[in-house]
Amino acid sequence: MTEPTRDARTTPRWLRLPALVLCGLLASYFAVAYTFALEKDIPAWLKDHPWSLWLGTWPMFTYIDPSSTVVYAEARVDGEWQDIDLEALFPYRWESGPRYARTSVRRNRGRMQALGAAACGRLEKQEGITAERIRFRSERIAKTKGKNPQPKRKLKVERLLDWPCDGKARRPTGEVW
Amino acid sequence: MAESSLSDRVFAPHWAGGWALARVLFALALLSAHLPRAAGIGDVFGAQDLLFTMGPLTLNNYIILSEGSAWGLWIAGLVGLGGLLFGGRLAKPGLAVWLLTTAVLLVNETLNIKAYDRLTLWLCLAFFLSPMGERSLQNKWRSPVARWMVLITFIALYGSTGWLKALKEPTWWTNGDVLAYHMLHPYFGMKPIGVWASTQKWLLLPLCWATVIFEAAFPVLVWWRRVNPWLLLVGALMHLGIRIFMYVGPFSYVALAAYPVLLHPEVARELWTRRLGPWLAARGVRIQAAASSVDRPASAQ
Repeated sequence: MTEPTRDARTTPRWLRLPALVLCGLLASYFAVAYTFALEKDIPAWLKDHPWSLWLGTWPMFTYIDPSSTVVYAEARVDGEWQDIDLEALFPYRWESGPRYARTSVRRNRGRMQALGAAACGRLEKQEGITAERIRFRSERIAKTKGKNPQPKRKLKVERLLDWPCDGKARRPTGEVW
Repeated sequence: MAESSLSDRVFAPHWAGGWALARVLFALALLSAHLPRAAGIGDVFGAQDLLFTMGPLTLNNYIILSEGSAWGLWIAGLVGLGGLLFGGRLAKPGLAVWLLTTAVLLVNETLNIKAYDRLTLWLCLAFFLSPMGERSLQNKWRSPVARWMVLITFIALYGSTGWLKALKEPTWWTNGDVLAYHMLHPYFGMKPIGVWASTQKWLLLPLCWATVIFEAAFPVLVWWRRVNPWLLLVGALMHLGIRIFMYVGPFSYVALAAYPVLLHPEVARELWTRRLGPWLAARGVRIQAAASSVDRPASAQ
């Protein structure tokens, strides 16, 4: 009886050491990323290159988060302030929320200015509303278990930006538009 | 030679059937992330009025995508995913096309490169080294290196999140508040079942413990053949639970797509030869007969 053919292959010998080195580097990268994932006291090299470990860091849902923040906007049209629907102007959203609500936008004046200019432009283009100014605020509330919608408990309002619609924002390229 | 025999034992080929299923699941998971991005073209991808840079993501300093070019990239990515789904020689080029085009779109958007995008990147590296481009993998044994990379990635993913929870946030152990509040996140949360569960301490506390114990123990237990399938079952239930209680996008799908590879190859092969293969054959699915247990190669060729 002939033995059935076995189709088995593995890494050739000359490639085994590079393969092990690759796996070792991958494991080391993740280990370093874990070591500094939530540390405030980080070494100088990491302060100089704060993004270097980002691809290997997954600190999601680690800390307790008893409050939530939502961003709202108003436009001044003919001297009157009126609420505007940011979700209609910027409809795409991720499971983490819309782009404009990200902390990295709220906490960065340049990005907020770009958002202000874009909101003015989209209001005019999409809804035919010519606004004079637009202003953004964030509302931070304490979460209440078992409630939907959430009551505005311990509300803290923060003004984010008051933007004139004839103002100029900068693109990353430095171009003003 | 003792040295070469050790090397041969370490690099002994593993049953490769898991890669065939993982490829299909991975393609479907990437599709579930890719298709909804079409709704963002013009609003975020290829938008001319909201361009950002952040850290090393500086593409917008050099190239400003138009809406048309964003559509072109999205369609090319979709075609690439078609190749990955079709398999064979199209699998790896398809994945490469999807990866490159999607990377440009994500870097153009800049601010929302998610945890599942980063996990996808690492898994892509493993898939490129895997035998996923071959047909009839249920009858083949291949190098374990790609599986090691998946293992290292998941050990890092689960291990780091589990140990950070265990060491940095005591409420994972003391009450269910940490989970309750995540279920009340204005975007990730607020599912009716999550809002209800946020008041059910009897449910939250065991879920907290199970999550932390599973994640923290994964790096050790995944290697133990007898425990491996049960550990992965717990992981699958955890991802299913996250999907039930929260909106987490394609994260669960991307993670679960790698599970056929995380399953111990011999356990997977037994499952295939004794259960899944005969079950499919009985339903008229034409599959080349899987090799029996006696055919298993003793060492590398």
